[in-house]
Amino acid sequence: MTDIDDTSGDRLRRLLREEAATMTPSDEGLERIREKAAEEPSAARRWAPLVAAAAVLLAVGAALLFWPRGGTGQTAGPVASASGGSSASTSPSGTTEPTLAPRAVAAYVVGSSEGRSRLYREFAQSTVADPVQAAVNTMLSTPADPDYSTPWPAGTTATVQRSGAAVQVSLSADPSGQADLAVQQVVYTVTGADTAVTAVTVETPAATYPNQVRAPGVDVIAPVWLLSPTQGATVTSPVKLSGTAAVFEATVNWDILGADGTVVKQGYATATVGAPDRGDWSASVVLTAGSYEARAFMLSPQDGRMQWIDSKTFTVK
Amino acid sequence: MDDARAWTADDAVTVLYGAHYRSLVRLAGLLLRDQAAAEETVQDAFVGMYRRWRSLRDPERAAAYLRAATVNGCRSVMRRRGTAHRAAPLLAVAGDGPDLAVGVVERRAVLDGLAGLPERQREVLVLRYYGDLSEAQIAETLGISPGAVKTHAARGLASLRPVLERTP
Repeated sequence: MTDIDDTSGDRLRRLLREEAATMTPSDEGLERIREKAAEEPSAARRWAPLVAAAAVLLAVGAALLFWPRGGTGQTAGPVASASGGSSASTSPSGTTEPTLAPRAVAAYVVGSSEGRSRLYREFAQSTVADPVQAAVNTMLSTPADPDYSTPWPAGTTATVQRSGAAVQVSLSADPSGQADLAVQQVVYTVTGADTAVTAVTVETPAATYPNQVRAPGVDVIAPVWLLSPTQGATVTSPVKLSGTAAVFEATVNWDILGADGTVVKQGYATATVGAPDRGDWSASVVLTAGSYEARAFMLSPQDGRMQWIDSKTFTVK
Repeated sequence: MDDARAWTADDAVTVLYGAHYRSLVRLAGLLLRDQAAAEETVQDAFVGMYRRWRSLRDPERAAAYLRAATVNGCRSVMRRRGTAHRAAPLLAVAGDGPDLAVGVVERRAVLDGLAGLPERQREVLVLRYYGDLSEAQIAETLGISPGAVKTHAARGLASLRPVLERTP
């Protein structure tokens, strides 16, 4: 290397260090990593020995394949199927299924804004062993968040049959309107619970929708999701608001309403990517003890009105 | 905790977080010029490491994995950001106005130049001059040959030289 290279290199080194020193990573990183690791179920740990021999760079490639983030796919991460890929096992809905200790299961539910309906995701505890059956049962129960609904009438039951990467879900009732979205609700729920599933046949008394796949997220997933705090949670201050969004210029607005319904805090967050992609967003809010409602939403690019409000009530202790 | 092979994945995350989180966020921040996106990217790298701890089982291999996953994650963010959004962080910087200290303008000019370089050159320069990694480590992180590391470093530095020479 010449002296000129050394001088340029030294200058670059100093400038990069100065710039780096202006960035102070938040103190919440470790907590966030643990949350994320817990969110995405444990199949990877079971798979780990299989990839043990893979080189580090192969493992990185695998990470990108197995854990797509922020895209319209909205996979919740891999979930090993309890039936381990065995074909054509049938597990009817009911109390005779094998059960496990309660664990969080994700299901898609329906919410709406200005007359348009889209999908949201909720977690519930389930003891049903088969992850697809557990997720479908959760989808058919009443959502924890009263703002959400499910188009399937109360008491609807479902039977799940697998044949390789294909799953058939037979429901005991027809959805009350919005059949297309209801079918996508089933498809997203099933493929979220078991990412090895490639096609879902949805059967209701009135119709059969053969070999359905996920529609593009932009068409069926609500633009703004508020995932944390969860509905009814008790949390400590500072309260971490987080979720995902596919919004214009990646800007997610949020506010916090006090018990009397007045806005006590507000702000905006920048998602990791902007529409049409879906990014993660988060914000931290200091609140005194009490009951609150957090709302995340987008502002209409046309006139600035609030759209796609996702809200959760929670308590700060 | 001395024998890393006996660590659980939780132990590994805790120890490696303390050792590497801050510097990886800064590394990603230099590549992305967006600290929030940098933190998300590094957190995801840690989640990936957590999941493969059983196969990594070694703090140095885990650190190499974290570095590679961070750089790869940054690349995905850049790609998704697309050409339209690439300029956004630079515009935000321009709004800071009166608070600019002496030297900050020059630093930003260099960072703008860095942001304008081809991806590989930018990665090599940041890993080398911020990360202080050897050619072999950079080659492993990026999955390219040591010779290619040398070439990217030389070309990147040559492109930045005019603006570097204007800095104090």
